[in-house]
Amino acid sequence: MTAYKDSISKFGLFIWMIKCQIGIALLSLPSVIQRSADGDSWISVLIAGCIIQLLLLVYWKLYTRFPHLILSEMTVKLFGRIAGKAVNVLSAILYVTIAGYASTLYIRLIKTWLLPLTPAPVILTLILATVVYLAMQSVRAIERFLVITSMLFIVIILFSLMAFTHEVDLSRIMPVGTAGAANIWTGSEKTFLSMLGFEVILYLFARVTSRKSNLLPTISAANLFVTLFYTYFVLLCLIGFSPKALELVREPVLFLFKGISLQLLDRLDLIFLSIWIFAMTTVFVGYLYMAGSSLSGGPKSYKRTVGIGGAVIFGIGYGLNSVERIELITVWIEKVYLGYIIGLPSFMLLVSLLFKKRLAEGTT
Amino acid sequence: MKHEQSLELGKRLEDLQARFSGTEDLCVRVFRLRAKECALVYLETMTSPELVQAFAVKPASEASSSSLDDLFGPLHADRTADLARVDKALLEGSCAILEDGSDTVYLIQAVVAQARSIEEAKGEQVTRGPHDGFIEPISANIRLIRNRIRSPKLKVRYLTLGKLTQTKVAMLYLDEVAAPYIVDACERRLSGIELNSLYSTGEIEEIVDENPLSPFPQTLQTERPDRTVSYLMEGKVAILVDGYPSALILPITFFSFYQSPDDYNNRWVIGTFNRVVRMISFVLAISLPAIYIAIVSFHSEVLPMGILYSVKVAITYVPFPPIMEAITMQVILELLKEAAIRLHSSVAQTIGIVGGLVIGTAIVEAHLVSHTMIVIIGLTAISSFVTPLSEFGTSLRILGFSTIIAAAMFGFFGLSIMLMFIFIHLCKLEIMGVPYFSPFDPFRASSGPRDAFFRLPRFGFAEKWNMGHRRRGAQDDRL
Repeated sequence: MTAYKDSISKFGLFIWMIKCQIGIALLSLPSVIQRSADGDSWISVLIAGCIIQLLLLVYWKLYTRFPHLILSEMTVKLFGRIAGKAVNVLSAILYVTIAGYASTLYIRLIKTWLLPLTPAPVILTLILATVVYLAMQSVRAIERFLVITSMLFIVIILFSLMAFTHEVDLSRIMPVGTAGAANIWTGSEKTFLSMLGFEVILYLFARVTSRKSNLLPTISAANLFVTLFYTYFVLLCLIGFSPKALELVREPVLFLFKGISLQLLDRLDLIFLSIWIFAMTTVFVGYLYMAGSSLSGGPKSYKRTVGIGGAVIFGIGYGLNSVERIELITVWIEKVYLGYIIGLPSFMLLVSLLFKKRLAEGTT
Repeated sequence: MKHEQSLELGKRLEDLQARFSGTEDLCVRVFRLRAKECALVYLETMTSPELVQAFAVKPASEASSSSLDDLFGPLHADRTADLARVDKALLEGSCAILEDGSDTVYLIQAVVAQARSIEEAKGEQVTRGPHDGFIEPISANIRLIRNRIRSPKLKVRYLTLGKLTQTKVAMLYLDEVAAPYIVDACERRLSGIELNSLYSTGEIEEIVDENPLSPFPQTLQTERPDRTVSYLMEGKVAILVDGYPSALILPITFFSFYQSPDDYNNRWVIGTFNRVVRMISFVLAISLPAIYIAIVSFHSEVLPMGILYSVKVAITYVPFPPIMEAITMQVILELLKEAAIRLHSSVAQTIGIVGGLVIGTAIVEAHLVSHTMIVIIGLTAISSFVTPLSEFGTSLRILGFSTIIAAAMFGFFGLSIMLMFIFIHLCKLEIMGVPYFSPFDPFRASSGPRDAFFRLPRFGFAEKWNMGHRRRGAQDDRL
């Protein structure tokens, strides 16, 4: 039985999952999908949610076969010691790389909206110091923090209601389905990439205390929440901006609030972004946690690994940030990572189904 | 093996006086009883003359034939041959009767009961509710608690701490309500203390602290018996030190510092409203000056034209950057507070006038600090004083400096990052296995937030007794 500090509750699993999925990508998502799926972008988001649900089924199936193991332990069990460890090292590298990539987006956002003159390494250091400090705590402590910060979602939704003071035009998404199936599908692919983060559950399933209960509803609920949250914001941007304007702006979600003026405050976008910093930062914790758990054996080595992981993210983030044409690299990072989170668990599930007998022994 | 001691009275009295360093308030009266030399010994400063007269001198002088054994039966006196115990009893205000040729010493309680009367705790006043507060003698304090919990489940454990001061310390908890692991942890920590002297619960607090580097207080000191009782009922442990008028509550959570007995003595709507106001005060106290600094030095576009204009006009003539203004004002505020806090109230009024009127208006007119900054700092200070327990307010003001610096360097981004640090720290803290941010701990969420954040009506939350049991259940889960 896992110790109290290393366990989370069912609700904790829910929060972990949504906090890892909702982050920086949402801000720019509406204009990214709009380029391909046009007024039907929101359908793309829903479809992406459905694909994730399918993937979650695979994850869940895998978990039911190894209810006491996290992903990095499963690989060792399935592929043997050496091959398993190799897979773990590779996955840790992937997590850190994707986090490094995300950090470049983060830096760019902060530089354009809040601190145009502050050098990138300083911003990066501040972000990573926070993230490493959080990731070093026990799962339970992280969960507590995530629960508190998830309350900010309520504030954010309240904020978003103010966007309706703009001129909204429902006809911009009408008639439904004009973009065509192919375009909607391209949109879904892009959305899928921004909704990454759910893979953290592969490392958390085994830590949930209420083992007897079914975890599928929990993760499905989390997926539903995330999908609806994304759909809501995409819809908001679709009806709030004209298609032309939406194509031009990079972070439409922030622009939604830019024009709103209250008696006491202007530029609600800056306030929104300050709150959103909490969401963006916690996303990294998921990746650091996964990287740390992949490589470490015990709590002590976990802390060290997280520290090193933070340093590596700094290196990658700094390196990528200074690369001129970042898109050339990041496209590949995204592709590899996508292949990894879909491919590896499915392959593992397949292997475990084929060699049923051996694994039945393994799980006991 | 017992030390061989002389049974001759004169020798024993000499020894005793030597042990007490020849102190001159040690009274020795030698008398004869049935042809035997006896001696009555007591510290005159610790005993009441009437009691000595009534319970020691009178029976001894009136007795004609009975032995000491008959005179001071077990009902009237303790008997011991243990010298250490005799010394201790003498120091606590007993008188001792020694007999020539016998190693038994009779100890008769004659302690002088002198204490100030019970008054309301000055630092924790309530508008409605009991107006008694702890005083110095430990027994009086325990009596105040026992008067409120007339249950045999209330358990008192005595310890003596401090090699020289030999201070009596009491640990109180409700048996079966307080989780055993908490009681054990408290006992372990207390018995591990090695000190020469102990005067206050504050010293225990410092030793018991699990995270001494944290800016947040991890134990709660209260002078209110009703408050102590409510914590005992929640399964916490209270530690009392003789000669110190407050109780130390362990383990404590963040939200306890925002609760006041007033919340429960009023209707729940009022209680909840007050709680919400206090929560707002927490946010204001740690972030208001930082938000202001971030706005004026980085993001002035956040303010609408009207406000921006008046703010800009106010700070145009000030030669310092906003962070200097803020820190100077905070320091001035702390100086005023420190100056006023210990002064006699009539002098303190002068400080109020000097501080409020002279410094407040003059500093603005001299263009050293802007109007808006005065408003902001004033609001922050008031917010930090809102906490029902003042020590927490001080922690908040200290934390305020960190957010001010972060905001002055990195604007809103720095402020958000610093707030994240603070909240991560709060989430990380655990005291004796109980999370500091408790209601956010899903294990105990069952009745937590309803009573921590708000004060919902009583029919809303579960009986405290059950909570104690549930808590123990949660602990079992962990093992």
